[in-house]
Amino acid sequence: MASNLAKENFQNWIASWGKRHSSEISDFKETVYLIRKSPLTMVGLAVILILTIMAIFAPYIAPYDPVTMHLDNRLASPSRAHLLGTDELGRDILSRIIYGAGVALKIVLIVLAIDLPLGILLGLAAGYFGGWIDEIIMRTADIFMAFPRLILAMAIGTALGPSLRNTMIAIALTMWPVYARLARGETLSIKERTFIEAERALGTSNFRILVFNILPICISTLIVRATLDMGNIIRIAAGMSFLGLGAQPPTPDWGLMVSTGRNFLVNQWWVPTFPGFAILLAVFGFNLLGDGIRDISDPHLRRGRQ
Amino acid sequence: MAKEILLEIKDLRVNFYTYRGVVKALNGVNLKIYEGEFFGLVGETGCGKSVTASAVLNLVQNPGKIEEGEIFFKEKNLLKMNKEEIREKIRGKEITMIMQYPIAALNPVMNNGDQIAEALIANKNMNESEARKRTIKLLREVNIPEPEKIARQFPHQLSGGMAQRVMIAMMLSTEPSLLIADEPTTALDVSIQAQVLSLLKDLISKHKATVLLITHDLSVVAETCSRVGVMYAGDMVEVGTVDQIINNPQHPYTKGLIKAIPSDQSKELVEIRGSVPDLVNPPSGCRFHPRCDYAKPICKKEKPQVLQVEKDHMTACFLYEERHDKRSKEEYKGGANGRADSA
Amino acid sequence: MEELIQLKEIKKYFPWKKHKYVKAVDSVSLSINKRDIFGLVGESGSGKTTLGRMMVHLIDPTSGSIFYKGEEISRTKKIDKDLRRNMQIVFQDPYSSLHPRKKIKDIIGSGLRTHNLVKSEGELITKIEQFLNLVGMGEEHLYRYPHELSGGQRQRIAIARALILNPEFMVLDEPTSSLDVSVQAEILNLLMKLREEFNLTYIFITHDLYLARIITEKIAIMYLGKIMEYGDTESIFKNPLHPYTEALFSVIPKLDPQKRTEKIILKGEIPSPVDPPLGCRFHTRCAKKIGEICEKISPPLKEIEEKHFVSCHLYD
Repeated sequence: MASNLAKENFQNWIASWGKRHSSEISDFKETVYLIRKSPLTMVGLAVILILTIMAIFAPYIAPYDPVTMHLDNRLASPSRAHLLGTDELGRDILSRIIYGAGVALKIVLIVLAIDLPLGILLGLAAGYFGGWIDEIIMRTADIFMAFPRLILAMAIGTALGPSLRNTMIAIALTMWPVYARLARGETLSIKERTFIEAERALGTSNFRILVFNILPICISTLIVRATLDMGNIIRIAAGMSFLGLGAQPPTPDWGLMVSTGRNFLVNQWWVPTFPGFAILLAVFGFNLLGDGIRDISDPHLRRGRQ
Repeated sequence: MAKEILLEIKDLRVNFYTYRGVVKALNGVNLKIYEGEFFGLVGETGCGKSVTASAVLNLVQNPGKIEEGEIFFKEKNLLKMNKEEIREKIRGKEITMIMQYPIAALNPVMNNGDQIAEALIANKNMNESEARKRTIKLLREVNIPEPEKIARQFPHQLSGGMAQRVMIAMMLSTEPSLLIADEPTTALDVSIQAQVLSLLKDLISKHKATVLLITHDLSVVAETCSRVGVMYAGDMVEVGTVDQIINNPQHPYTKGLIKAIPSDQSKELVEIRGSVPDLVNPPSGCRFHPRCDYAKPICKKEKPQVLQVEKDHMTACFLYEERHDKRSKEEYKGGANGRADSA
Repeated sequence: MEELIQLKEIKKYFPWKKHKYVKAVDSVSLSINKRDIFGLVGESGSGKTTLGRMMVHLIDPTSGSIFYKGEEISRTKKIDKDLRRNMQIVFQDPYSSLHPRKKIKDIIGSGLRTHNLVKSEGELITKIEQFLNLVGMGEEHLYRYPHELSGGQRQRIAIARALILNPEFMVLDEPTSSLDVSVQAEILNLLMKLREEFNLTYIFITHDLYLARIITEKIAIMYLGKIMEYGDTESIFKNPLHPYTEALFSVIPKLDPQKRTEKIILKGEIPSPVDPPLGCRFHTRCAKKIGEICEKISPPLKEIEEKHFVSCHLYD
């Protein structure tokens, strides 16, 4: 009896939740429809899903431990026991690539976790308040943007000392101006729109206007940009690791694997090549996904977003 | 005196294939425009008047598709012509179009004179100096003061009214047989609107062109046009002379529209209850029935045929048919205030 | 008749490029009483929109004073919250005046939160539902987004949003210009009904003279930032005194061919408000221009018949 009542309550709750969020639900359905219509986006999505699964379930999927050395089995060519061969310290390359996915994704997530909030905060402030706040923030951004990204990242990485953590900080520092600019641009155009004027007429405070009215619109542009940048982040991180500034051994970082495997390219081609492919596929996958998300977010394609 | 038919649209059906479903934008539209007349096509948003204009120029874009129908221009079916023929002979030459936002339709990086001259050189085989002279003449004809100065300026420097006059000059330069004007004065101030409409009327009679004026403003049509077609939700519901439509409207929608427009005669505004239907799932039978105070059961079941009210005056409504035709009384049961079950 | 708002020589000049100004409103004085339906009529560049915005304190005047119930409110940049609540506005474009990413509930509820007019979420919902019904819509719209609604429906939401604060007066800035004719009638009838129910004062901005005749009781005809004619609506329509008003009446398209008189087609374009003509703003297009006096001196507003003021040298 009690369980029937609970069941009914639960069903009612689901029904009312559905009603209250029917717009989001149909929006989601439209997104799924558009994704399915674009095969390349599906490919990108698939690649990212595979990477995510590799990252999360590495201990269960990887056949071997990624760091234990087996010096008696160094540089073994691909075989049934080691599908992608072993490296110069006898470690299974396939397992290292699987664990490497986690490293790559960690870098992407942490860089974005720093840059998105930072960029939004600074960009919104600069765009909304203008004046000297705008000047200070934008000129600082200009300074950072004056340097080519990789060079700047290398400089910061070298100054801080080679480590994975410092690589992430370095990359984050080179990328925040982009998000700040984007957020500022959006804010400038949104703050003149009539619905913002309407909020002012209602008496809404500046804080509420920024956080509840301007921010929700900026966020989508920034997220689209972030997905487009994911491929870049991996590429730069791989480059830093390749140069020895990033992950340190024995971390299974793809860039590091290519770097240490360089010497064996001629006779044991599998050692640097497979990690290289991993980088290629990851960047490619993120780019496809990023493009797809950008196209899908295009307001002209959707019925109502403005 | 039998007038020549310049444009005849027969049973035009256009659909738009969108994510939400198929929008049945035009539901079998019929229209006749005679040579030399100023014809007004009136309707509100979504009635299909602009789609009709696009169809004439075969400019219906994806996801729209012309499903069936015929458009005869000077007795040739435009829908059967191949793309090159339409581009070379019809569009911009025999049939031209001016639109609501003229500044947006003009090339922003070319000065005004060059744009008109280019059209002349391409279509009338003039050389550059002839084209320039003719451009200045055309600008003068559309009452643009200091035409040489305006010719050197760019579209963004023009006011709405001036830009529209430049468009008119450009579109008349090829001496078209049919000029389609899609809401040409909607975005203009009243005093400027009056200027532009009066200019159009003068020019039309001078160049002996025919005009199809598309607008939502019945008063504008009343003042400039000789005949009117009223569209609703993809159907042509009534066609007649201006006098017939305004003084003897037959279709309930036409009557409703006249009562809803603030005019010199209105003391109040009368609403048309309900709202414009979603054309993905349009109402069955007569598309206006859910909003019609006189609707009968048959209005929900069948689409009304077009009937003649008097000479040159047609309407598609069972109400009219009932008064003048042979259907059995059962099908009309419900009385004057009875309503068909409506949504 | 209690005087609600008084404008004394209000000017608004917007800086434009170097050392130039867009003289949007150039010395306007008028007063609005409680329960008035006051019309501001004019074409583009007339300043009616700017004037409307100044009345709800969205724009500060460059000079001049605005009095609300006798108290001057134009000096301060930030006004009292309670005062803010009492002056609301409905904008012309329903497609841009509602936040595209917010649900209807949040759009309407925004003001309630700011002014602490409700104490709980439940009370908020109830109140919003009440006002949705008042504007002819239902609870099912609470959780929808603006893009799911038609133009007419959006405008109803905009009205509900303003009305829910229980304001004393509302500026209606061309509330139906972007809507279809049949919808226009619905919205205007709704506005009139609400005015009766809530005892509101309306400032109705429009370019449609016939609409103004039906809706308003008092009217001010503006041209290039100045008032040309002002007073009781019926008097002005029966007897337009200013050449501009006369010309406007003559060129509006009319349904009835009998009513069409000789059109006074105004020559030329509306001059730019950056460099408006000196003297009487209208003299460059006026068919009844007297002479130099029109070019040099701006005519003062004079009461020619009861409750009917004109600014024209013809009546000096």
